[in-house]
Amino acid sequence: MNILVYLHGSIKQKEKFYELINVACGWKKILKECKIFIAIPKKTGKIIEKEFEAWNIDKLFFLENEDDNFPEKLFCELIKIVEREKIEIIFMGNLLFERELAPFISSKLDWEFIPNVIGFEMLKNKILWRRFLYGTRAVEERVTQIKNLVITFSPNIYKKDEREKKEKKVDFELLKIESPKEQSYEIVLSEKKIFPNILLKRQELS
Amino acid sequence: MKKILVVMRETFPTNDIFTEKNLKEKRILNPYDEYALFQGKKVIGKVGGEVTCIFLSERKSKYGLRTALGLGADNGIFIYCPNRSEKELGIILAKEIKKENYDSIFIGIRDVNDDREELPYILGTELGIPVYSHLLLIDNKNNIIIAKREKEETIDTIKIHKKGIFAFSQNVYEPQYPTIESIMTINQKNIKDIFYEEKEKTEDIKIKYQDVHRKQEIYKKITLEKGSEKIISYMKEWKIIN
Repeated sequence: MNILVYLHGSIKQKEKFYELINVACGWKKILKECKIFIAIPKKTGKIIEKEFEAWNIDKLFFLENEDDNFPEKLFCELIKIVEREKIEIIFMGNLLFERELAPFISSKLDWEFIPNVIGFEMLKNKILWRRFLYGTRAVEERVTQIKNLVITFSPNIYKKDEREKKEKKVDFELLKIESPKEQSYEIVLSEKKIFPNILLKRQELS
Repeated sequence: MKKILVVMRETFPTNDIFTEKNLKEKRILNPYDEYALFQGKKVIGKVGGEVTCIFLSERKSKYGLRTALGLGADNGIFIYCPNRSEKELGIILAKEIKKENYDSIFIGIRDVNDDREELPYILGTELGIPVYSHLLLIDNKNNIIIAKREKEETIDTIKIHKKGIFAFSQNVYEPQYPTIESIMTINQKNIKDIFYEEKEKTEDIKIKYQDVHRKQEIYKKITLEKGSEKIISYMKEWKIIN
């Protein structure tokens, strides 16, 4: 049972990366014959390459394509890893792009999609997932097989540090896949979002 | 874009309390789908055409679809399909959509009570067309479709090249109501009915409602002392304190 952890975002997201890897490594300790593969954009991955050695990771894939406008392009890269490494479970966070990519992958592969997980429990040959419904007024508990799953995790749900005492060198590969050139849309203008707290900070400085 | 299909669902009103009766009976139009309907109407308003509303329902009541017709949809398809998974809903929808040649499909990206943003992608895969997701608004300028799309740190303006599924991540904050004038026209609009068989709920999914009992107890004219005792007894019951 092999797990692919897709890490999306800038280096500012590294605490989230560690948490996802911790979840995967926690699973590796429980599940038999489980390998962990990490896919991360090359630019971010190279900065924290050394840090991956603390976990029991089997291989790193640095993705040449960092375009997060088209999930189709990234799917072409990830599907290569899924096929080659016999991946049965994909983990990712729940930023906007991941919320777009995860259901895209699950619908293409016809795998079950478990979004915004806030907790999980290993059962006998199955797994119980918890996620919020109705804002946070209800909790859904869903039992699935432990295979053919695409899961997005809410942050700050797994506090256990699964780093090993002994560091080990992790194999890596640079992945560059020709993705479809035809695009369904083009970006005409890209404007930075204005967050109210940024405006407040500007006022304090002046 | 002259023939738009809007996918609509019902959902539980977010401001209502969880009681068995409310959970069974109370429904509103999903605000994200309702917003998609307004966007569809806006696009059609400029160039002419028609908006068809395909309504997925867990109940046999057509009240929701009739509300959508009152809000401006030109005709409706009512699909009764209780207890279906998103995958099954996607297949049911795709089967119906393939019967007509729609220029585009508008949908809310999620149910306001469930952030599973899956249905547009299942539909996209089933129909083999792209999904334009997390849209805030759409416009038709001289037959060029322009949309505003939300990303993590930016709002992008995009020019659409292909027919696809337009999934809106903006919602209406207040439910809208049809005008008297539009209510009068509802009966003149066509509704096609499709009824699927009843299906048992799967045992693999359970929902635990967290505030069913909490909001039901209202104490009037209670003393400070008695109020504090009540709070402490609840805190013990919920294992917040020993």
